[in-house]
Amino acid sequence: MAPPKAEVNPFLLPGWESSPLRPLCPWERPEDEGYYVPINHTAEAYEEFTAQMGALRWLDSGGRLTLVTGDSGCGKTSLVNRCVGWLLRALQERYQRGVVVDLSLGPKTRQSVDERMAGVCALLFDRLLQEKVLDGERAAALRERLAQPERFYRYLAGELPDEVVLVVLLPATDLVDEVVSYAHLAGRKTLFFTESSYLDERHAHLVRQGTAKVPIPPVALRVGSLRTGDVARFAADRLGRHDRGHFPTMSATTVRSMAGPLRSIAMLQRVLSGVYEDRKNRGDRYSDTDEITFADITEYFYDRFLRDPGTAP
Amino acid sequence: MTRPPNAEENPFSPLAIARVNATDEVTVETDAVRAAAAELAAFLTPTAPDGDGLPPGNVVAVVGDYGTGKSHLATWLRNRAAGSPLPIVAVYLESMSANFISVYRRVVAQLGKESVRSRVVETYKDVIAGHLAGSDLFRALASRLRADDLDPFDMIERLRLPESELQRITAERLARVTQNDAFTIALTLLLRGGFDEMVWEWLNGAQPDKVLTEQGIPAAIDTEAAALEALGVLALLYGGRQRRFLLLLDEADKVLVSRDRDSDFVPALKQLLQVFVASGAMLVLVGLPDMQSELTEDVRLRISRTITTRGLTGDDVRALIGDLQHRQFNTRRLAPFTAETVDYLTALADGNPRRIIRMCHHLYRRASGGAVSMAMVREVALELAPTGGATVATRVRQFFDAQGWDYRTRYRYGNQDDAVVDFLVTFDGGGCAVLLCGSVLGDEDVRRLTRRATAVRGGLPGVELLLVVDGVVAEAMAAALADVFPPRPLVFSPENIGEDLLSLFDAKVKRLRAVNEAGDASVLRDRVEQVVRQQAQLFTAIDQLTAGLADNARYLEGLVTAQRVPDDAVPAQRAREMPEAVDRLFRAALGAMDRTEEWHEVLAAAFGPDAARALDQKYLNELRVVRFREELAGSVLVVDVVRRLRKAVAEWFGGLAGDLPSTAERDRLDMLMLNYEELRTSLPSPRGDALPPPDGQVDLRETVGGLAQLLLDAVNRWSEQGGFGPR
Repeated sequence: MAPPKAEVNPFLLPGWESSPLRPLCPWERPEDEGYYVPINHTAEAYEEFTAQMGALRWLDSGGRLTLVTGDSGCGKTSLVNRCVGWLLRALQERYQRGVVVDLSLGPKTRQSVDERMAGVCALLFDRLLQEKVLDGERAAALRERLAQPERFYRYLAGELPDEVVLVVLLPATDLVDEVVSYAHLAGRKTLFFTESSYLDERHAHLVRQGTAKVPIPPVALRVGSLRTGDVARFAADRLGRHDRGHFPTMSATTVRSMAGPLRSIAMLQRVLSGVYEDRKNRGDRYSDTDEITFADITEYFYDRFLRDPGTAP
Repeated sequence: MTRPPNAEENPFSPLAIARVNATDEVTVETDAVRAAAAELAAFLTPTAPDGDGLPPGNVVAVVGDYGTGKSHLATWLRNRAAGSPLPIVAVYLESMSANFISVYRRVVAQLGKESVRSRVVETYKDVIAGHLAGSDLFRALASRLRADDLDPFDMIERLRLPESELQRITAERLARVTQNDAFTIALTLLLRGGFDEMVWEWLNGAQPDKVLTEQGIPAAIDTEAAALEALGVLALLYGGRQRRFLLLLDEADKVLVSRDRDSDFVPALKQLLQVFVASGAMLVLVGLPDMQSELTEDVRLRISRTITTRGLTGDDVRALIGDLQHRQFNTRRLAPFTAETVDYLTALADGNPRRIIRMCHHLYRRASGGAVSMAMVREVALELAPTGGATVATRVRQFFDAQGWDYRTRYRYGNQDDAVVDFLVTFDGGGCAVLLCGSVLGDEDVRRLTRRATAVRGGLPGVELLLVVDGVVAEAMAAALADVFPPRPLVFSPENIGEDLLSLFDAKVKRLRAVNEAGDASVLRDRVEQVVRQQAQLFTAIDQLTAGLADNARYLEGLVTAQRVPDDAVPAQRAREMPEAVDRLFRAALGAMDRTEEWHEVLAAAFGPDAARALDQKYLNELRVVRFREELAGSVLVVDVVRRLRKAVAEWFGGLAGDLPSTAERDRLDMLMLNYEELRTSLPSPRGDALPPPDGQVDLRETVGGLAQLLLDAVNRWSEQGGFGPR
């Protein structure tokens, strides 16, 4: 006999209940792929990415940079991760091995571009040694070029095993010049991804201008804010997963009421996961026939932000 | 509670210098005070909540001669503004500034990083609240945020609000307010972690860090035009519908005088005044009467009102005496003065409030509970005459040297004893004899000077006469004296001797030309032009002197030595120790400048026995910061002055003949304090921005700026408790 279903929070990923805001990351956890919902322009951006990448035949002659822009909390990192997941699969089909080096938490913007780029070289070099992608003895010459990114990346490609393609997730940036520099540095066997909350369409245009002579032009993807129907689509996806366990339902009216104030996926995720967790922790009215109403959400806000502003949700 | 007036508690300050932080100062309601109060009241009138646009701003000039109470009026305005129910930021700047770059930096430093940042955060909060207020769900949060109940950064993090979008909207709003791209970028960066220090350095005039350059801040605020624009940005940032910004710039004439200005200076100055008017901010320019003549017509037109501080009248002084005694004893009275003695001392002090209060201080003590007599007024006036004859002769000689004029000193033209002029300046077409004398208080003084003038005119026909009075001229004697020494004698004032002499010499040359029609007029014209040309050189020389700290150090050395401090060490064998309460004030002042003391040690170590060791990089890095360097240079001198005053006061206590100081000894102490005050106000004020006191709560303006007054108060308390007598 199958065990009885447990009470679950439908807005938290299985096994990641304590990290409600973890971006989806299918290149690391393939099961995440099933949690993407076509909201926020992300589906279009993903399609644009795969279309631009094509069959990756251009990889024989050079690398490429992908820039994802959009306001804080719109799902840029999840989009990057999805693109990287697709890329790894596509490389596999070409009998190549994608090595992902995530440096997104690397040097901060309060350093100059030169310092940050040199810092990224150093971090990348260390990680490649740790992962044994680089040969320790042959890497000595590479170490000397850490302060000169242009020479470093040119030399790096020659030091990588034949089947390896580097996928480097760069720290977020807010400078066009830095994006343009990386677009120029993306040589053979090197694919860069970077994201920015501060660059917009206008800056993307400047990036295109600055990279006009780059043989394989960068891919610029834009993630927008939530559109009409996005909140309902996202809620329906998560609330439709009854196979995971029991949880209260939410009416279409309640979902519509939230669509106005909640304008980004991070906000939506924060609020809905918080409201459900709150009800679940109270230990009553958490069956499939119970309901979360807009009044519950209002009360949740009152409790968490107004009665005791110091308590984090 | 009313206390019986007594001779020991002197209600009149021996210093009579406007104190920045004093809130208990007595202000006589003169026309200037009334006019300034009216301007301020109009400025502080709350804007109707449903009204459009910003409240009207204002630019006001307060002009008057030395000691007529301009600074007092400015600090009074600042303190009065601070009591307004409207949120107001009032900055009073004692101008030791050579230009607007320095003015701007000092304004920024006085505002402080947290203040500037909080203005930006206020805008940010408003943007976030606006973002949230559109929905029922968040409306209560928006209200709490606006009511300053919630931290916006915490709110963003916890609700995962779209931070970058909110910052972008904030930047757009700041751009509309500041109308300056670099400031918009810099201020917005204050909302993002990690940029605070570099932004603050830039706001203080440093070259932009490379990171800031990459963000779009191209250059330092290091030209006068940029500094003027930056001041306007601050007015816009701090002014507004519901708040006010008041900037009081004392001694503004020093920064407004025309020198070699960049061509964009005047347009930038005009723009600044316009910004103040348009932004709900108020600028008060305080300076000497000729300040406005230095401005171009179109700049002058932007000053909406000029308020002139004039000498006090006898009635004003009687009211002031009453107010000061009321503050001290809670009883309003004129005694020990009478209406006649007040009129007399007012005339001798030429209505100058500073001189009047100083005279009152000495007269009150001298009366010792009795009445102040006319003879006492005359004595005190003579004693408090600005300087000794040697100094006035030196200053006049320095002036002639600076002009490059030919002159002879103590020129003897006959055999009689009095056939001597102090200076004889020779022009191609004639000459001018300069006579020096002390105070002219009565008919006998005038008769003596008339005899001298007649003798000179007889011995040196065709020579113009100029009388320089080192002291005071009684009002009743002024007209008679002017007849003998037309157009008027010059009363020596160390602050503006150069300007006075230039103006009178100019008149003399013109007069010579008129009289000597047969002579070569072109020679005289050349001479006038030379005077005008050399005036600019003189001002430059004075500026260089002021700016040259090394020169200042030597100057101070001379002045302090004149106070007869024989050596550096406090005498080891002191019969009478400086009271602890007094020494504590010195320790507090020196302690507040502890970082300057630390630098003495660094320098000692650099050239000491361990000099083989490299200097700590931390200190070298500090020295590379312009603001730090400037403040350190000033502080070093201030520390030196405080140390020397401490030694002098220790000696003063050690040398007291009795258990309590005599009147003469009190006078000597007053003089020490007066000299300290004169020196301190002539030096850059230690502001504690780059060299903060170890205890951040210490107010340097009080512990160092107010040291003389604090010391006098402490000595008074010590005297009241019996001095060195048995307790």
